[in-house]
Amino acid sequence: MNISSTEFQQNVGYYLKLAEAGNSIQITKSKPKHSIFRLVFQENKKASKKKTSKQIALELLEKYAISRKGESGLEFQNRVRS
Amino acid sequence: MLSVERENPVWNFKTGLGVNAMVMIDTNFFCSFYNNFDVNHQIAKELFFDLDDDEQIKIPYVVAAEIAVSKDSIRLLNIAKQLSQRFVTNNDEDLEYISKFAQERDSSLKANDFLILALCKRYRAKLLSFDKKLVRAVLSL
Repeated sequence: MNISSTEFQQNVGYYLKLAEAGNSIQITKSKPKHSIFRLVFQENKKASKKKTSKQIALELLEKYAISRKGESGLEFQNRVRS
Repeated sequence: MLSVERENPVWNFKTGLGVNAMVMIDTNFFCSFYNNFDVNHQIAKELFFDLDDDEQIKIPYVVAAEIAVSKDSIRLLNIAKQLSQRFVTNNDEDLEYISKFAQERDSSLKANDFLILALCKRYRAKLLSFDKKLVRAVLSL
């Protein structure tokens, strides 16, 4: 898909989404030099995969939480912390 | 009951820290958070959700040691390792601080409480705990 730089400036979000969806987009510009720009989408996997401590804690809660009745955490701590 | 506890200033952990602040988790909080049947499980979750997304959650080594002697030690230690990556350890500077603190104030804190307190001081960290005495001490820093 070829579009002018003016068209690109007016609908940046739309063309970024198209590029993200895998469309090839070329932006042409006539001044000061006649030039062609290509929009390349590349996901930053390292950045988007980095989880926060909070996310990790919640995932661990879903996966490994225990269900034990009786002594509470505070009672346990009072017993072992001396 | 829970809302009364939340309104108590003891539970106000906000200490005006900037972004990427560190949060230490105490043994009792950790056990309550990861035990669905714990009496404080719900409030632990609520307090946890109040944390900012960019806050780093850390577990002191002394807390890991206490978790290691619990009935569910294998599972809980596995969680703690994944959560904290590296347990936070005390150093000589902490011991000096603890010694000074204990002499200056008439405190009934236990030795392990002091170790956690010193870590909170050194890292300017918040503390998640249901131990009111310790939380009060951290808030007074």
